[in-house]
Amino acid sequence: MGEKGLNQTIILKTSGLAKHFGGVHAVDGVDMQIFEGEVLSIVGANGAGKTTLLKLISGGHPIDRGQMSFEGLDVSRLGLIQHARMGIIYSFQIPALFEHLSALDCVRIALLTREGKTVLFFPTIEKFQPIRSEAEEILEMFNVPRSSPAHLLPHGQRKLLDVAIAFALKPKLLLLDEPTSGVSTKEKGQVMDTIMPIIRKSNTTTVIVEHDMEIVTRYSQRVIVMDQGKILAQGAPQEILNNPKVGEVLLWR
Amino acid sequence: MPKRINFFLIIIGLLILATGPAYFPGFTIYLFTYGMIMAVAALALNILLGYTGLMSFGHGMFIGSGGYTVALMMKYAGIHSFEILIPVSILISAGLAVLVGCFCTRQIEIYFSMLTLAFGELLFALCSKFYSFTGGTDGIRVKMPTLFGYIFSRQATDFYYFVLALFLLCTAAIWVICHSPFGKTIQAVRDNELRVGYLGLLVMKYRLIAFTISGAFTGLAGVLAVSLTGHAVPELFQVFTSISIVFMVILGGHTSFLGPVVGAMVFVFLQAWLKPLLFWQFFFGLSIIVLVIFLPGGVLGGVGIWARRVLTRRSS
Repeated sequence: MGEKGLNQTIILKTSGLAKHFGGVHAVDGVDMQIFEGEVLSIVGANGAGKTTLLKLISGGHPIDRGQMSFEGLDVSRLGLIQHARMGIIYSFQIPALFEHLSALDCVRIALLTREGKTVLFFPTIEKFQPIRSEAEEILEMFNVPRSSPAHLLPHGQRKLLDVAIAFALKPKLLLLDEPTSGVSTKEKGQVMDTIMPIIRKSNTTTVIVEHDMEIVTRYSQRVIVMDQGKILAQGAPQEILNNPKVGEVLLWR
Repeated sequence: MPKRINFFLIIIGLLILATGPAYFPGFTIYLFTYGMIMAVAALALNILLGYTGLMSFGHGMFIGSGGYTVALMMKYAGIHSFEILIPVSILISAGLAVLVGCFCTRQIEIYFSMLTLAFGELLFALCSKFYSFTGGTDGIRVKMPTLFGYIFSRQATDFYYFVLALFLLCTAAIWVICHSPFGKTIQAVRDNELRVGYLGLLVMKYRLIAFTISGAFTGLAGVLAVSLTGHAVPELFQVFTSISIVFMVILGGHTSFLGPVVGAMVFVFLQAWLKPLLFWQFFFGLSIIVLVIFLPGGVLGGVGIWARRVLTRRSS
């Protein structure tokens, strides 16, 4: 288990985390903690380093400098696959689906991965009844039709399916990269109202990268504001909204 | 393709194959035998092309490895029985696939294709030049092997039925593999390997396993091919063999499971019918171009579209 914070368990901790692409310091010395069971939002202007930070946490990008521990273990030098196997699961900004497979199969693959059954050659996938039932249950929770091929789903449902795939892995830390990007203003609420109750019910520790401050204040318990690769401020959503320094950077006033 | 049309076509196909020797002449039966052997190779290649998204231009190397394992075991060890030759050839082909796959499956798209092509040509060169062992460009004559002491005849239909049984067994096995958890996972690799990595799976491992299974089945096709033709020649390893198998898959339709079987049959019969013509390669190429242009989803894809149209017209 992770080390204890003031009154919560720290699941992930970074110190001096840095990543640069050529001369650009996308993430520049980030010290942060994520507490077990919380919903944390990361906000910032375009190019502030939010997605890069999420990719560093997920293991999708190797760390250039700094330390990162997950549940008390140093994971700084571990790769994407080890991060995923430890339970750090990333959901993509642009849905990354298995386009020619049905929504049911997309979720089934995640479940088979979780159960360590992806190298079974026999019997056919239809014989794994518990996997099928669980996949159907997850799709029902996320309001995604099961038999439709992924590439034929409307954008909102594609976003939901992407999160459903990540959720099927029973993540210990779920990283949602702009779950409402590209979704109409009207649909944004629907997407979040579908995702968040599931996350709350399962008590999944979640980090959301989001632009929409309404969503951030409505759904998260804590907010981190990033600017030019650094943490500018962090705190409860209301504190962040009242912080004049943050307002200047994010231009929401 | 609509399920009932698919089912109907499978039944018709099985009936033709089961009763064919009763009314087809010997040469047609020979072509059916060769077609079924190549269908196994095409189905095996489609595990890579259709299900994993990898285009191999070197699958001839497994036809060659299967064929030469038989030829060399006969020549140097005096082993003539299928019950030993088949498992050993499959194992050697699978071993070769692991070895070659360790290099090739790290690459994707054209780099993968080029590497497989290069390995095929490498083995072709080795086989052609290593005269004292492999018989060089002359190849090695292969006697018809026996099965538990039973002696097959190339003229009789017993070998045809033996090949038919193996073809059905391989088709069933490949179908189960393609619809198993592993089969779904390689389809996920084909569709989005980045996401597969984010699930915590090592993409290369799944490509390597798919390559190995594909190589093993193609090796079996190699065993049957040299047993039928009576000759193992270095050309088996060469690019023409590999491209022919790719053609069969594309021709039949790589998006449907049985497409490669139809493609192999069409390819073998077309080649045989056109061969007596002068410039047969020209007409052969022309036929392939026409088929690919007018049936971009392959023969089975075309039949599927036609069947859907007919069914829609009837229901409206």
